[in-house]
Amino acid sequence: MFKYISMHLKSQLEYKSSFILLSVSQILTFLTYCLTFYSLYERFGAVKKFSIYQVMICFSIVQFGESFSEALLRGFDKFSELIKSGKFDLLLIRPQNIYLQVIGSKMELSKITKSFFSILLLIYAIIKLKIYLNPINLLIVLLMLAGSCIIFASIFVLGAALCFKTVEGLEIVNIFVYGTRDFAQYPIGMYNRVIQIFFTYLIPMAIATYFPMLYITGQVTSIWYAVMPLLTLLTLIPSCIIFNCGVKSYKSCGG
Amino acid sequence: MYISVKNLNKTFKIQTKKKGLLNAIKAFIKPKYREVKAVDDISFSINKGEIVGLIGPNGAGKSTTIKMLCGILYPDSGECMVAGLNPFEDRKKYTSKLGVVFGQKSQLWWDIPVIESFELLKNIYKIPEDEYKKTKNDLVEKLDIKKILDVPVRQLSLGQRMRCEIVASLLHNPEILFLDEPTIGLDAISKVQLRQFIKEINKDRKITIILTTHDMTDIEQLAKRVMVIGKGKLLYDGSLKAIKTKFQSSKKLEIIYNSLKEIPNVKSKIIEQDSKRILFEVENNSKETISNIIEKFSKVCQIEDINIYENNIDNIILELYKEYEI
Repeated sequence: MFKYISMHLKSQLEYKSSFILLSVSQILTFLTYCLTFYSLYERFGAVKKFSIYQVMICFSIVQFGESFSEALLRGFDKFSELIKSGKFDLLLIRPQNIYLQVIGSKMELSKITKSFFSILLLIYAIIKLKIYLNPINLLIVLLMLAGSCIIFASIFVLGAALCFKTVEGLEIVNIFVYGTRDFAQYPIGMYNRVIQIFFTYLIPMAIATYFPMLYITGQVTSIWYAVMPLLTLLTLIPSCIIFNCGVKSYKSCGG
Repeated sequence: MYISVKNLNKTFKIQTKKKGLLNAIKAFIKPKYREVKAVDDISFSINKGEIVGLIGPNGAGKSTTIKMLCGILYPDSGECMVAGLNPFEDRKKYTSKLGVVFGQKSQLWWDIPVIESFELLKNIYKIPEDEYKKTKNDLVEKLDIKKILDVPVRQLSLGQRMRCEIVASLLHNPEILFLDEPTIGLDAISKVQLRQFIKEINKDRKITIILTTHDMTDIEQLAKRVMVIGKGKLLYDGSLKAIKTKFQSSKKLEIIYNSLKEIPNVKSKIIEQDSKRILFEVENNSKETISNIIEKFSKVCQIEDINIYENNIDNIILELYKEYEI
């Protein structure tokens, strides 16, 4: 795995200016996002019962999940390219796990800069909320970060699995990725019932962000809320089953 | 039997579309599918250490057959076993014995030096360090790519890249090698080098090689056994020599001469003639042999040069395809 990462880093560093520009643009988009919701809060104060720093926690966790999984799982995100070029053939003739190889086939490491800034923002919010980072709270935060990545990973793998059938990449997958990112970066307590149910049960981003956030900010006391991010692992199961079926029905392209 | 294939089938659904916007919309709402049998009930077996050439026109089913033998495609029905393994079910075990070169799909990393791709393959195949070094040095020397190991792949010429591809497919010492159009787009020298090398590894390492190609010289020089595939069916399986004698019904004889007064009495058909040369078509089974004709000419004139033309292997294959109506 590390070999893959170092290879991609080497590849991308070959195009030095492109790499730097991409990284800078990542930081800029991130800062614009921050600015938008900061100015909103500046004007309206707290939305419902959530303070700006609570929102910041959800926001940074979702942003981290999106950028980190996009950086490392670009192979699944852009899976249609792998199918269309026929390069998926080459992965099937190697004695290594197919998931690892798809991950290894493409990475977008400049996106990591965004993950880094998300972490900074998360730390800032935690300090401002005066959350004492004892080992338990630290563990919960790490679980939240991991959970957020896993949800995006499930969406990417599912989207990739659909490519076996459609060959062409699906815009609808992007709706889920960006929709999840844009909606779930605010505490879902602000939304109406339908959206709450959607992000709790269908794309359960709330179990990685909102519910554990309530726990560490002391709004709920049940430990159940804190371990919820672990349940995100369940979302990988259907995605992987469908992907495995896809591999079996793979048709291959080109000579 | 090292490779045994029994009644292999693979059908693809292809959407049929007529041209025009209206038809495109119709096809979008209610797509029509047509079934195409890419591989239709193919059976054969291959012994260890053989080189087999797979030929057939474009779209005949060669690549599909190879892809099923590699475990890339799942067959609809039928059985294929290679080295006692089922390529699709025992993929991990099988692929470590398998080397594949797809002429049109690079397995090297485009932006970084070749040697890095080799190192990655070492990790993927978990090749022990000393074994890796030995194989790599041996192959690098044989294919003469030492100088280009540090060059990013995008800066290599096609011939250089193809040599690197072959090394990449052999690093883990496979027992069986699939070459899918290995000489496509190569210049004459690279082709000759590559063929020489393929012969060598087949002999030294006892690697079983299956190659597909459209270059009949590849087949002529490498494969004693040919399989002809057309419209998904295996049409011919046997030696190249047999095809040649079957379709090589005549040879052409050209005699370039000096001071000829009268053309001797020759039964074979004259195709062309001018003051300096004459061209005959000599049937293989005729009583008059080429040496007869030359003898007759040598009596009446001074022969400057003699050329004998065999029917080109490409033409032979063309006739073969015609006979099978593919």
